[in-house]
Amino acid sequence: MAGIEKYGAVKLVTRRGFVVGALRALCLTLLGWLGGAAFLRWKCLGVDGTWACGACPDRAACRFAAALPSKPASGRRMVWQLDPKKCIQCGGCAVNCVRQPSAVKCVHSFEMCGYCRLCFGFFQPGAKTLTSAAENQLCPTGAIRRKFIEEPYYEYTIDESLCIGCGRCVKGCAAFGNGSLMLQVRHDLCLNCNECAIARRCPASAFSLVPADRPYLFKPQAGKGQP
Amino acid sequence: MKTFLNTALAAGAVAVLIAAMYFLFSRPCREPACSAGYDAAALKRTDPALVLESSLKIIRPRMTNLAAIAVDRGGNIYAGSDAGVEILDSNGTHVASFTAVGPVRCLAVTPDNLVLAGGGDSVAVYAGDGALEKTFCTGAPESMITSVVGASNFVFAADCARRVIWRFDRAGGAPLVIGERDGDQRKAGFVVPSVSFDLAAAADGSLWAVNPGEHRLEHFSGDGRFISSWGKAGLAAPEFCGCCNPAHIALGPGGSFVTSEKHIVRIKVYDKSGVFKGVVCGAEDWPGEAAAPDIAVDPAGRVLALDRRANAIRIYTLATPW
Repeated sequence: MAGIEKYGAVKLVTRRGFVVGALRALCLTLLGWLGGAAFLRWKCLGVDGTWACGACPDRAACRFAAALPSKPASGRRMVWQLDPKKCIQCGGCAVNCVRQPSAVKCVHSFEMCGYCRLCFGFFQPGAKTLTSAAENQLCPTGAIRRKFIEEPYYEYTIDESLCIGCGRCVKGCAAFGNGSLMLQVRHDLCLNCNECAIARRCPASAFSLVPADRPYLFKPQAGKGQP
Repeated sequence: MKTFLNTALAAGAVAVLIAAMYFLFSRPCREPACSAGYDAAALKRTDPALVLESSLKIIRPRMTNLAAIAVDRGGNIYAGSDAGVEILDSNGTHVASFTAVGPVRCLAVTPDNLVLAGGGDSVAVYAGDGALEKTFCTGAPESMITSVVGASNFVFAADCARRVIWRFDRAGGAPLVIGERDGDQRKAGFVVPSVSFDLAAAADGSLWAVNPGEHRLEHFSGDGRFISSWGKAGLAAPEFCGCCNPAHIALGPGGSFVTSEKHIVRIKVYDKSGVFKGVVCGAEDWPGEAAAPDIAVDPAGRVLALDRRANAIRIYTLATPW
């Protein structure tokens, strides 16, 4: 017996020793997992604030982009969208998206629009004249087109190639108009990241995953809940 | 020694776990980012120098979901809701109530104390005790009555969907359309971008109507002839801003005007020529509100404003005589 113990063929383990060993293994596993996760997060935050594995210089250049679209366990494909009713037009969509210019664009609900001559989504507050002169326009990139329809109605359309999703026009329209201008994630541009960089920073928590077959969220029409 | 090491390791792991959970799952920014360079809140501040001195009294009708208010010549207050109309005396004491045939969206009381309740495409006329006397219908599809007033000979109803004013005789017949856009576009008609389109009847039987898209008040004779207008678009206090303001108007003693605006929610007073006199209450008094309160002026000159959120009526008594 003494010889057997000497060579370690049978090593008696006490109950206390087993618990301590298990605890130690658990702690080490946790430490490893947390350290790895923290490292990835630190590394990814270092790449223009995006979530990525750290290998890519840019999320848009990810070599495993096919794995990025969110697919919940149910199998129904979900996409990111922002709720215009929650949006506070903070300007974060323009700067936080991994796509530049942002995949968030201003969209116009013509059913809600008043076709006003004085559009507070188009004109700077206190504009001297109601013309399309650059100094009168609220949009920093001139992405809104103003077209005369008939006296005194004008149509406003968005040039999405110029829109950066800053939401200035949306803020003006919501504050003083019918709220027909609103921000939406354009799904032909969105990479549908697993964790949307804008959603992570959205102060109004306006972003959520919505079913891909109903990818846009609009506000109710005037007279159906709008002031 | 071994136990000490195990304890230290466990404590360290827990500390790292807490720190890492905080680091991983806390949102990096919970504060609003720098705004998009457009401070709408600054535009909503009211200059205290423009605020008229007044005292405030709040009364609470029993009915809920209030949508409109009106005052009769005796100072009684009428509040319309989805359920019907409630009548209160000038102190806010409940007097009576009756059920309406449909939701009440606008309300008026004629000089002979008939209650006019508008909603949808019709105006229901009730006797003072709530008995339905007759109903005026525009007969036009898609009509949406947003305001109704009763003059001595006629009843006028503003139709925001068709952007016209309907005039009926007291029997509900002979409808006349006022302010229609003409075919050759010499008259642009009313510009009504939203459901804000209000009327007020003057003591002489003429009619004041808001042209909300043009930010002005227009004066019509009883037979629908345009007489004059005043009002200007802008952000300054004497002006009307937004897509469609003023949303509501009421006539005060001596023909002066009280206006109620949405978005920058404020109630203002103008003299009979349209010269700005001051602000009764500004956006600061309506926090979180975007819709314009319906307003009325009682014979004593008090300004009544409907606070839909609180289901109450605010009564402002101005210190300065009208």
